Order: sequence, then C-alpha cells, then structure tokens
Amino acid sequence: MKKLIFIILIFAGYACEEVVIIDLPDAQNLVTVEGWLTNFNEIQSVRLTRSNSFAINEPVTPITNAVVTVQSKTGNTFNFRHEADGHYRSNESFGGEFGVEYQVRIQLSEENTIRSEWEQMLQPVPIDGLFVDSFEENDPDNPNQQFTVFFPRISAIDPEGERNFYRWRFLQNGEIYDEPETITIQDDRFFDGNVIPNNFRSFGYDTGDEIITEFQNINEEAYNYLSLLKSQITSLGTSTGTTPAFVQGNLTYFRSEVDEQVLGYFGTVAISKDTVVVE
Amino acid sequence: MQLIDVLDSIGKEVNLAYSRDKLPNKKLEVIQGQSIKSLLEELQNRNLLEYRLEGNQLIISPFTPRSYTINGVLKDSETGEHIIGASVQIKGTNLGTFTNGYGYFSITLFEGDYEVEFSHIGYTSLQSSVNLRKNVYLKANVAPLITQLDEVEISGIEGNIHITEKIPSINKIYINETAGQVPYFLGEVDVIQNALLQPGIKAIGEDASGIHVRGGAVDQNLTLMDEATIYNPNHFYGLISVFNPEAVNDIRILKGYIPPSYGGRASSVIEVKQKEGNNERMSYSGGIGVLSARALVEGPIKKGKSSFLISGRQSLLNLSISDFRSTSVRRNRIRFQDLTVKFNTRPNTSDQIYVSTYYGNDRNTVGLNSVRRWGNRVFNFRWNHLYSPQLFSNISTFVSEYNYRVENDEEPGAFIGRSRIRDFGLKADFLYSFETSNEVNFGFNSTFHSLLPGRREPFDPDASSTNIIELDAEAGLESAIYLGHNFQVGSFDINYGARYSMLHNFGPDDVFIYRDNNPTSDTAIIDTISFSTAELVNTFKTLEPRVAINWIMNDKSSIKASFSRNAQYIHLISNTISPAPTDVWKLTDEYIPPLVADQYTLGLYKNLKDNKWEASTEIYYKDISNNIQYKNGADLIFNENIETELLLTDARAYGIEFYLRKRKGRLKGWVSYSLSRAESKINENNEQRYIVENFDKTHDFSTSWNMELSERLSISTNFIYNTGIPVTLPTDKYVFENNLVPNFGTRNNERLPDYHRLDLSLRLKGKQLKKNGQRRKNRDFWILTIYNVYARQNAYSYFFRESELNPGLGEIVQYSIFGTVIPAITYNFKF
Repeated sequence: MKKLIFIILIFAGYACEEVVIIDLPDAQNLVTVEGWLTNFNEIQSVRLTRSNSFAINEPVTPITNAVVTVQSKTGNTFNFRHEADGHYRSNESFGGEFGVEYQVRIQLSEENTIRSEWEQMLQPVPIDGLFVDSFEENDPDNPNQQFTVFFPRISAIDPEGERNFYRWRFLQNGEIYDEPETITIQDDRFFDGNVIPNNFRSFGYDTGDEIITEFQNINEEAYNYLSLLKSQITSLGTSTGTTPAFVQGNLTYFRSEVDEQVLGYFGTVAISKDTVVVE
Repeated sequence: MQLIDVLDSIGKEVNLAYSRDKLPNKKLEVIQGQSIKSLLEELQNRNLLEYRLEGNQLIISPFTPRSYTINGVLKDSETGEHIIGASVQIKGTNLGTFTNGYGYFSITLFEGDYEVEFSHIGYTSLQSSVNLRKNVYLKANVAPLITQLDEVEISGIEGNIHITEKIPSINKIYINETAGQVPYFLGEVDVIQNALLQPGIKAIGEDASGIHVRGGAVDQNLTLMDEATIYNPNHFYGLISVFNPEAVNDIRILKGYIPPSYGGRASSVIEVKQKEGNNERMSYSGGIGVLSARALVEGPIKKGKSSFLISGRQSLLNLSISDFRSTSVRRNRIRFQDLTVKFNTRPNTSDQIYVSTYYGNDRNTVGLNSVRRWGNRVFNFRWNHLYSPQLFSNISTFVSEYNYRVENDEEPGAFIGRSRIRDFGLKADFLYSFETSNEVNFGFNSTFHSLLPGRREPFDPDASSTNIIELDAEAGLESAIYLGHNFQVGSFDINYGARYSMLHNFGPDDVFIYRDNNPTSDTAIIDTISFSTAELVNTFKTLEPRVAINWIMNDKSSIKASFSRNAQYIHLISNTISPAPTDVWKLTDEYIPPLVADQYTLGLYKNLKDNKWEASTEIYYKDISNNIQYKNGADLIFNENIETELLLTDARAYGIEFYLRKRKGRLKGWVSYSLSRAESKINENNEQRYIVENFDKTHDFSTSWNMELSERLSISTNFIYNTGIPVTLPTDKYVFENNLVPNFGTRNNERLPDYHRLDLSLRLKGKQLKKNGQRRKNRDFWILTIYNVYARQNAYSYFFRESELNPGLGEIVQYSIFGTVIPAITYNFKF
C-alpha cells in the first residue's frame, strides 16, 4: 500500500501534479528482449527492441536484423525470423517440454551475441473450474444508478509441498489485459497446498464477453523479475514505494568483457487455459 | 601586635601548643580585657587559626578550610515542576553548575558565606544567601516570567550558558510560550517540526516519518519519553509527532557528544521530558485546532508533596474532511489519540518517586477494506534518591511497546498482519560530586527486547485458503555499564568516559547457514542450526569511548571538541524512501553486525553584544560501519531470510553548521544553516563508490523569528530553504509487454528542485488584566497560522509514467503534497 496515495486522498485540496521537463542523463540504448516460451505446440515469439532516452519524443526502436534461436539442453535448436516491428516468430510450431531447459540466443552482429539463462519448463497446474462472478458498482455519471460488473472466479488447488510461483493473464474477447496494474503474480508460501485464492474484480467484463484465462506456472526468477518490474512501473515516486532500481533480468552478452546490460526477460511458462462466456 | 606575639603572651598564662612557622604572620588589634576564649574564637572565625582542647593543653593549628555541600532542587514556584538545566552560580566567583535532568544540583565549596544565584530562561532569577558551616539543603523556587515585555534583566551568567555548556552539539527545543510559537501545518505545535529548524536536523519531506540527525538514518535516534524508548515518534504518517505539546516540559537533542549514560543508537539522543504535575494548585489547559484537540489536568494530591497529571489529545480530522464530496476521500479515516497519565510523590527530601504512562494510537482506514493501526505504549517507574548531599541516584524501570496491525478483509485473500516490539528495561544512574565541577557518574542499563517481527494470519480463522506465516520471534538482552568523569582544569572543562555495551541473542532461533557463508538468497541455505528457548545464540560487545573538552577562553567565547563512539544493536528494516509504520525492527544477529558510528565534532561558540546574540559554528565527521542498505528491489515483507536482501556498507557523514540566535528584546529568533553530506559506499555496476543517502540535503537553511507587537499581540515567521533530496532519474525507456518502463542509471544521480517555504503566525492573547487592574487567573490565546504563505509547489517526488496523450512516450511528473496556502486557527487556554 502506498502512503502517498492516502495523502493524495486526504489532501485532495492541497496536493498537485505537474508534468515537468528535466535534463536527463545520456541514454544507454540497451537491447530489450521479451519472450515467454509456452508449453503449447504453437508458433513461439520473441520481441527485440532497443531502449532510447526517457524524455525523447520517439517510441523505442525495433531491432530487425538479429539472428534469433531457442536452444534446448536436450540438443534441439529452433530458428526464428523477423516478421515486423521487432517481433520474431519461430519457423515451426513447437512447445516447451516439462523438465527441459531452454535458452534464447540472439546474434546481433559477428561479435555480439546475447543469451538468456537456461530456463526450465515446469508442469502446468490444472484449472478445476472457471466461473463468472459479479458485483454491483455505482455509475460514476449517475449516482442513483448501478450496473453489474462481471469478473472471473477460478477454482484451482496448489500442489502441496513444492514451492510454486504463478502468474495470471486474462483476455477480453481476444484482447489481453496488459496494463501494469494487471500484472498478477502469486507466491504460494501463503497458501501452499490449499485452494489458490483469487480475486479478480479488477478484470471487469460485460454480458456477452468471452473470458480467456491463462494460469501460468513460472520460475522463481521470472516471478522476481515481474515483481520488481511491476513495482518499478506502478509505485515509484511514492514515499513508501521502492527505490528506483535496475530491473535485473536473465540476459547477458556471451562475451563476458561486454558489461552492457540487457533489459527484459526470456522465460518458460507452463500454462493452463480455460474459456467462458459471460451470459 | 603580631599573631605570634599574641600567642606567646597567652602561652604564659595557659598551657599552649603551637608551631610558629605554620601560623600566618599577621598583625592584630588586641582589645584589653578580652578573655582568651573570646580572642581565640574571634581568631578562629577570622580563619586565622583553629584551636581545640586536648586534656589540659590548648592545641593551636593553622586554619585548614573545610568543604561543605549545598545541594537541593530547583522548582517552578507556580507549578512545583522541577527545572532542568538551570544555571546555579556562586556570585562573585566563576564557580557554578547546572541542575541535572531531574532538577537537582549539588555544589561543594569551602565554608563561608555565599550568594547562590539561580537562573533559567523564562524565569526570574533568584538569589539565596547561604552560611556554609555545614552541609546545606536548599529548596529554591523561581517564578516564571509572565510576559516577555516586563522582562527581568537576565544575569550575565545565565547569558553565557551557551559558552559554559560542557559539551558541543546540544539543541534545546522550546514549544511553550512565545519561544515555541513556530508556525506549522494546520496550526499544530510540534516537537519534531521545531527541531527541524535547528542545524543538522532534517527530514525528507512533509509527510516523511522520522528525522535524520547529521546524516544518520531515522532509526539511529534514541527517542526517549520520560526515559523509555519510543520506537515510532509519529502520528499521521509523520505530519505530527506523538509528543503531546500540552504535556511536554523539556526537550533536548544531543547530536554530537553523547554522554556515556546514553547509548544504543548511533546518531543522536532526543530526550523528551514531560511535566510531572503541578503540586501547588489545580491547573487546566488545552487547545483546539483544525487537526486535533488537546487537554491537560494537573494538580496536587498532597500539596507540595505529591501530584498527578492527565493529558490527552484526539485528532479531529474526520470532522474536517467529512465535507469532501468524493466518497474515496470520505472512506479514508485517519485518527490518532494519545493519553499521558503521571503521578509523583516526595515522601521526604531525599526521595522522589515518579510513575508515568503513555498510550498512543493511530488508526487509518484506507479504502473500504484495509485498516492499519499502530501505537506506542510506555510505562515507567522512577525513583530519585539522595544518599548524601553528594551522591544522587536515579533508578528507573520501564516497559515500552510498539506494535502495528494491518487488517485486510477483502475476500478471499483476507489477512491480518501484525508485528510487535516490547522492551523491559532497568536502568540505574549515579552521580557523585567530589567538589564543584568534579563529578563522576556511573551506572548500568539493561533492556530485554522481545520482537515479533511479523505474523500473517487469515482474517477469518476458519478460512482454510491462507496459511499462517509467522517469522521467528527474536529475543535479546541489550546491556551496558558506563563510567563518566567531569572536571575542570584551569579554563578547560573535561568530560570523558566509556560505555561497555553488549547484546546477547537468545533462542528459540533458527540460524541459517549459507553456501560460502554468503547470504545471497534463500536457495543458498545449506544448513540450519536450531537453538532452544533461552539458549544463548550470540554475543556482541562494543567498547564506546567518549570524550568532550570545553575550553572557555573568556566569558564570551569557547571552543569545544568531542569524540563519541556509539554502537547500535537494533535496526529498522525499511526499503522505502521514507519508513512506514509497518516496517519491522530487527536485532543484530550473525548476519547483521552492530552498527558503529564514530563522530568527531569541533565547535566555536561566541556571545555578542552583552550576550544578546549567541553564535556558534560546528564541524563534524561521522564514520559509520555496518550501515544497512538494500539490494535492488529487496523484498522485505514477511521475509524469513531478511539478511539475503541487505547490503552492509561503510557510510560517512560530514558537514559544517552555523547558528546565530538573538535571545533578548522584543524581537527574538535564530538563523541556522548547514552544509553537509551523507553517503554510503555501494557496489554498483561492479564499482565501489560513495552514493549520497536518500535524505541528503547539501544546503539547509532555516530561520525563525518572533516579535512582540504589543502586550497581547505577537507575530512569528519562519522561512526554510534547502537543496532538494536526491532522486534517481531514468536514462532510458523501454517497452515490456506494451508497458513503458523507465530504466535507471546510477542511484541518486540527480536532485529534486530546491525546497523553500514561508510560514506566518499571529498570536493574540486574551486580556491579561481585569477591569480593576488585577491579573486574570485565566490565560488564553488564539493563533492564526498561514502555512506556505506564497503557495510554493515544492516537489515531493517525481513520477515516471507513460504519457496518456502520446502513448509510447515517457513523461516526468512532479508531485507536491502541499501546493497551496494553508491557513488554520487554533484556540488555547490555561486556568
């Protein structure tokens, strides 16, 4: 919880925000990798971009000419090719296999290659049921009027005795919820072996919407990465927020003498998927 | 006739023994017909000789002066309250002392006739004649000054207390009468806020909890309320401190030399003493403002012997904000209250017993489903005893508790989180004075800390979906013995001593052993050693030498220097920019060694224009080892392996402070400035370098003035200017899953814009005289405060977010807590 938010509310009459222009330190233009290898047999994807100055009036630049492969420790190599805007797709469909470790390799030039740590594919944890729940909310435009918000409720059991880290993702009519606040991750140390608690009121749906839920079993490192990433997007600048920090991923340059940081993460996720339509 | 000749002639009549060469060679007038007895008596009274009869022989010996002690207690004649730190001076000499922390004093002199003068700021001075032929107990009562206008001439001696004060770097904080009329937010009077106007004492920002003294973290201040530790001195997220101004008597902050009787924290001692209760008559006082209302009742139980005090304070903010339209604001409830109950009795002149309790509470409802509560509770029993005029003791035992509780009843993850620290302490201090300005103090203290760092349990105990997480309780005994000596040699006043402090950790405890003895993460645990209840786990010891020298060059100037080593065995673990009430305390253990700070101070003090002005400058250097910093993104919540998230660093702080104060006249006030730096050595990008602390402010200027406009009207103002606190600015932006993420360069690479603010307050006293010219018994006054007069939008922090207008682009947002003028009015009374 953020103290600043309380103070903002209490002193709604006093506080103020203002967009300011400040000279920033020089940009580092770092390579950013995004990629989650799934357990589904499908076309897998990786995105490559290069960061630019925070304040500059330009979007980040895609990297379009890299050679991207995913290797498995069991000796397989899967080739990717650039499609558009820094998105690379695998040439063939494949899925990560339980227990096997994978690594992404990105050759930027003759000398410079980036690789991820070896990431092990976990076993998906089954969803026992996906239901639709609802609550009433006041209409902000008309205080006397209420409307119904539908949200997903999931029944799933955490495997007992093993440490698990989860991530939940939701799609509304095929469109994914991807705002920073919707990064939903769980560590089972609060509910090991029990029903997995869930409260997804912030994922609102209307009548007729299709809800797709992805229940992902992820590695501890990926959990830590997402946790830090979320705090860096959502809670900076508050007096009880975390201090700004480099979000450490799992990617480095092959040659150890290159000490330039690589942003982003390449991980493996074991997904259980379910779909329901709000009626 | 010469004395010897007189004795020679007496020797012819009686059997007399004396030594010629030891007696003074003095000419005497001898009256014819005077008896031998009366002659000898007269000579003895004139300190020329001493005589005694042994058998049938009169022994004459040279006069040897005898020392006797004047001791006693100095009290306020209206309330019977003991006066702390008042000057006790022997007129016509440069001998003198100060009343101690309990109002007692002891001064040893050769026999003779003396005038003892007592003086203290805000009081009329008092002279007592003492015929010192035996030990004398003196009860002195001084009357408070009623208005500043009919100010009595303050004696030259009290005037240079600043020069004669034995140790450097003491700040007295005044919150009463006009000296304490410092305008602050919503008209509140606040101990901590007034302290922030002194050099070397800083806070991060408006709502930031806790203060930083000379580059120390907030947990490095030993905050004592009636001698018991207060773990969180904040109400209302740091806007208000827990000390009820109505009940506070004396506040001092020691930030340089820490006397050996204090210890356990690295940076400072903030000593708040509350009133003990009026033992002369019943008295009532109180006040009401926008934020809170407070009241105090005190009075004698047995007049002159025993008294009580009850004081309470309640926040009123709920009322004030209920008009807000927005439901989200109305859902937020901030409440705090505190209650002080005290009792003291004086069964005889050698004993005084004090009982003091404090209960403070904060409760904040946030949104619909989350409630946070926290509070300090203190119970303290003290016994002052005089064994002899020269030996004073203070024995005190206390229980101090701080706890917090977070309730979140939002299903299904509803939980209750709690944490608690409880101290049981025993402390004994002895003060023995050989003679004036030659005293030793010694004693011990011992505190048993019992910590419940964190427990998270389901809100509904029957719900099965949440497991109880309980971090191991911690138990530790923190003890110390100390010895200090204070004496004067020529114009040097020397204080030195040492404190031997230690911590014993006791089981039950599970000590994790990490691979390569390096606590990198919980996956590196290779073994666990379990200790059973009361089993000794660890012992840590530190010898803390302390020395302070005051060279009084003349009655207008002095130079003081000190060295102080302070060890700290308990730490506030907080990764947020400013600590939250829910941060946990942690005892030193095998992975968190004691934090040790060495501080060197040198200061020059000067009084100008007949002591109307006080000026001082001090430089300090502080070397801190085992300072706690945090790894990037450290996860500290209910973490069983907290050591894996910490970095132990070497830190240092240094600076120069200037202080100029006008003490007399209708216009009073001060100017304070410090130039300083506080930094920690951190490994960043494989490079060890010093990085400024989050609370560092290079320039810190503040000034506060008060002027009597008329008998009833006074005006106060203060102005603050300081360098903005460090911030970390992003170099780059990147995109991850369609979210714009700032990527930061080195830590604290930039600063917020400079902070400045002007506040004003007007104080109107009720009529002091009745129509018939008599003084009214009741006193009351109104205070109108204007906070942030010119509506400066001081930056509190920067946010970095994705622009809503241009998605994909980053923008920097400056956030200000108070961006506008805030007027407020309070009413105060006393009768």
